[in-house]
Amino acid sequence: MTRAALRLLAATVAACVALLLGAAPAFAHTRLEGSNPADKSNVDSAPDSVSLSFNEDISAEFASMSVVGPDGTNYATGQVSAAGAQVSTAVSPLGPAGAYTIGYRVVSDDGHPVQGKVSFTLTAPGPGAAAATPAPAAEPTAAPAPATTAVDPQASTRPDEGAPIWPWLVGAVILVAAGAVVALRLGRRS
Amino acid sequence: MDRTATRPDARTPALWAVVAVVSTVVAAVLAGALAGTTLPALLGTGVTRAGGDVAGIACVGLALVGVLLPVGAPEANRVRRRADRALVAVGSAWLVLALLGIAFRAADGYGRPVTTLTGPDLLVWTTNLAAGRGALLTVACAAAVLGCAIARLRDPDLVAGRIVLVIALLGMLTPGVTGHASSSASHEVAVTTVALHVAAASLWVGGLGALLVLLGRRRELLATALPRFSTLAGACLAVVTVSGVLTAQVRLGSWAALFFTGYGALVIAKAGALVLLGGLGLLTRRRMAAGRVPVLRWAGIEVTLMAVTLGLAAALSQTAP
Repeated sequence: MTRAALRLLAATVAACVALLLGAAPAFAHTRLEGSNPADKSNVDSAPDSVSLSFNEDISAEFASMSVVGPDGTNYATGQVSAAGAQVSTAVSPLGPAGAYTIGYRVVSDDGHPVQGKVSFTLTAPGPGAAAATPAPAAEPTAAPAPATTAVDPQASTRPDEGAPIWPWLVGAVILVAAGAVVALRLGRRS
Repeated sequence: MDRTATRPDARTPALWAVVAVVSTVVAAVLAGALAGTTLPALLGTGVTRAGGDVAGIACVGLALVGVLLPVGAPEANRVRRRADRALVAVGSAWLVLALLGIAFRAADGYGRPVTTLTGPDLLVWTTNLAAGRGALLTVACAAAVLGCAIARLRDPDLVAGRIVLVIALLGMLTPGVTGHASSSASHEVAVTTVALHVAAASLWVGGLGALLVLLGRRRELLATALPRFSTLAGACLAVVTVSGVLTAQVRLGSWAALFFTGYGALVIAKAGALVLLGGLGLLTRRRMAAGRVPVLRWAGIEVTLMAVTLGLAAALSQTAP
């Protein structure tokens, strides 16, 4: 084999390896498969956590859930945990009887956000109905939510950890552009 | 009347790029992508995705022309040098767009404006999600193409043109194989067909565009390179068609989805564009066989149509069926 052919073979092998590294495991497109409480069900006693199960593993960093009651307050505590394909959040004691909506927003492995709602009806007032202080409904970092107000996309109360990165990105862009200009200038012959 | 060009005209490729990017956003909006995201986020991800695709395909095309040209002829070497200079410019554009693309897609994933993202946010997005890992690979390939082009400017023998072509193709493949295909039911088939589809489309579109821009005014060189490219283009057309049909079938799953969803509408539009392109290609070959080289105006129309198709493709990547 000539050296050129060997190099081409090496490049092809490297390409295949890189392709495998980039390829994702075989999952179906992210879809809600079930929830607890189940969709459109009647619940007698207020649960202290709600969970959703999807058809693929979900990453907790990108998942957010809200549980909005008939009085408009969000009872989700804001901390979402994920175990494999199941995402759950604890809820503070639920309030009046009526229709509750679980809003969710997760991100599938191909990077696309998936949103939706599940609803259940609480048939008897929960322990929180007597209390007058509802859970905070608005997050300071609430994102532009195209769905109804029931979905609070950024339920996590993680404090600001670290500076925004966009100045670095702008710097990198300027650096690359300047480097290209320099290379072209230096490469100009006669 | 054969004026030797002093510099390839950069306005036409810029126009093609604008056509592709605008097509992406319009097509995505029409296909209902706004249901899952906001307009600023869609603009950010759409522009960087389509723009990055255009830059990547341009890199593939420029590298391909370098490979197709005859070796040793001084005029061919001059054109190769022009191609390498263009690769530095376009490669850096690809790198920039790939980097910004990561930022916008991560912002879309988190559901926050891109200005609020922190370093750890980006790190989590690029490592946890397959799409993130694929995007990093694209950045790496774009950087490698840029580095190779700069090296070739110093000494063309440092890096073979084939190497640059392979790296550019690899950078084009990663968004597709970590996108929808990787999360569909018949995973292995879907990933392979998408990879073939993107590779064939990149060679075809990029090659035609680069030929036009670099060799449009050099009749003799065009006469040697065009027949070789035409054969390659024919094979690419066949691969694009077959792999496109297979991918759409895996993704849509039913005829109803084809006709009644936004995603299906995009697929139909792409198929229509493909038929038109195939027809144009056939006409071009006939004219070449009759001895009328080059068919610049036809090819210009063809590449513009390809730019629209590129935009449709980028919109498809952002839309759920």
